[in-house]
Amino acid sequence: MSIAELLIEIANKLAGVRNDINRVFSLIKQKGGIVPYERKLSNLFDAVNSLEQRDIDVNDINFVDFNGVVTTMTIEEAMELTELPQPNEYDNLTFEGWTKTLEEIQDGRCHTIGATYHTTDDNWDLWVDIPSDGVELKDIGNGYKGYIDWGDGSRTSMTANGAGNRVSHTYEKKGVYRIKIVEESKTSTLPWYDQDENPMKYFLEIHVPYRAGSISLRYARKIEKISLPDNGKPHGYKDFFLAGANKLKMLVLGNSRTGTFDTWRYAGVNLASLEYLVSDGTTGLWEPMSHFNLKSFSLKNLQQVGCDKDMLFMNLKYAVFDNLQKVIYKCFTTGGTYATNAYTNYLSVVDLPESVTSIANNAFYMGASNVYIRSLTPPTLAGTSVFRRNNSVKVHIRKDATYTDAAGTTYTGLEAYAHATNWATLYANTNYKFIDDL
Amino acid sequence: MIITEIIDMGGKQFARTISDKYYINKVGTNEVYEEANDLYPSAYTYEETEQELPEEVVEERKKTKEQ
Repeated sequence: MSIAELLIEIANKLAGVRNDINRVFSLIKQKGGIVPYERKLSNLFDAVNSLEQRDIDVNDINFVDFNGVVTTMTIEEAMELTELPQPNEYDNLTFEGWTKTLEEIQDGRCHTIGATYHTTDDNWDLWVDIPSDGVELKDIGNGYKGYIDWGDGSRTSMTANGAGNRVSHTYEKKGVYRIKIVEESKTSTLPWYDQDENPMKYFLEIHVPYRAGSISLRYARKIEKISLPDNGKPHGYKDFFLAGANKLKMLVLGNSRTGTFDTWRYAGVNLASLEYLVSDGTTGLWEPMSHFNLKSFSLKNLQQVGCDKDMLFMNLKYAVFDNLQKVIYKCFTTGGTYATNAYTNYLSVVDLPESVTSIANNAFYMGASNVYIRSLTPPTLAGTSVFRRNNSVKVHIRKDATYTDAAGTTYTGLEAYAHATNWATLYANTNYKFIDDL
Repeated sequence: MIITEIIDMGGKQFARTISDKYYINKVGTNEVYEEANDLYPSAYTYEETEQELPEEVVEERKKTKEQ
């Protein structure tokens, strides 16, 4: 064999190995593993390792970040913690903290706890997925002096100040590219134009500096990962929903973030892939259309939840509302307004705050196996089919809950539920076990 | 029309109160029910509200009455 033939044979074998590596990465991704954009041999070990981490059922206490579940444990295991878990480390990302304290976690309730990050170098760090050769990415930059590294070996300087100074770039080849937006002054809060689809429809992953403001992603249909800092700035919820964001699995918003989740204005949008949601800041209104994959959420300060269609939580396991006051339209439960339909195939725990005073019939249509009622008196049950399909429900109630009947007799704890309208029938039903452990 | 019947459940007797078309209100309270089941004998009274029941509930109750 000549040297040229030998080199050709080696090149062919290498191409074959490259294909095999790509196939392995694709298989890992199909199985729910985390696959980096750079599919090289040195990343294969981490990708395989991520499969083990993914194969965990939703547990009582879930620590999540923008990338996925960091660790999960039972309440009993959480009670043994002496410190919060170590967060994941990522290139150019500074961990800010977890959204709950150890004390809050150990109060015995179910939680989804998020980790927030910002870029270490104080620049904008994003990945784009360019679908074909020759695609132009438009309107990046925001009129601040600096440069943009497009990730394909080229850079564009931004020299003038002013909103008109946005730049564009044409990618010769399709692929995934890492873009760095570097500004000298470090003052801009959103360096892309949010009125048009381009560039947002190519966004795949975004990491931002601490100063980032409301992040507009209204056309970012491909977005899979986004890390946001806990900096007190408002979030662009409407923009997430308008985009559809069908591939977004995790959404972690810091405690100081504010805003509303109102989506009813926009037809046909959903967060179909969303698995974990953390939003314990001041959240006025939440109206998600459907969350087929949502497993757990923490909406500590949610004040209103409602939707003009039935809310579909097909895979939701935990629903914890710390401060729920009011529900409009059809939803879970409320401090005065009825929920009618909440389709929840796998709902395991529902934790209803003290403010809840009534629960509609069929509110938990597919049932929840553990319900925590924290109100001082049994909430008004509109019917006896609240937990319609579940065969076995544990109802946790307050020891000091009271109920006064028509004759003026006051009952406490379990006896309150044994005598309250409609609750009394559940109490007499062996499918329901009432436990006064609150 | 308000209908009350005595039913047995779990070894106890309950007074079940429903309306054929409307949600009902427990008199003297702001509690509204699709159906109300109270331990029998019960001193509670109920009246119809103006809020109509879901269609499927009305149909179901019509069928039960015909049976």
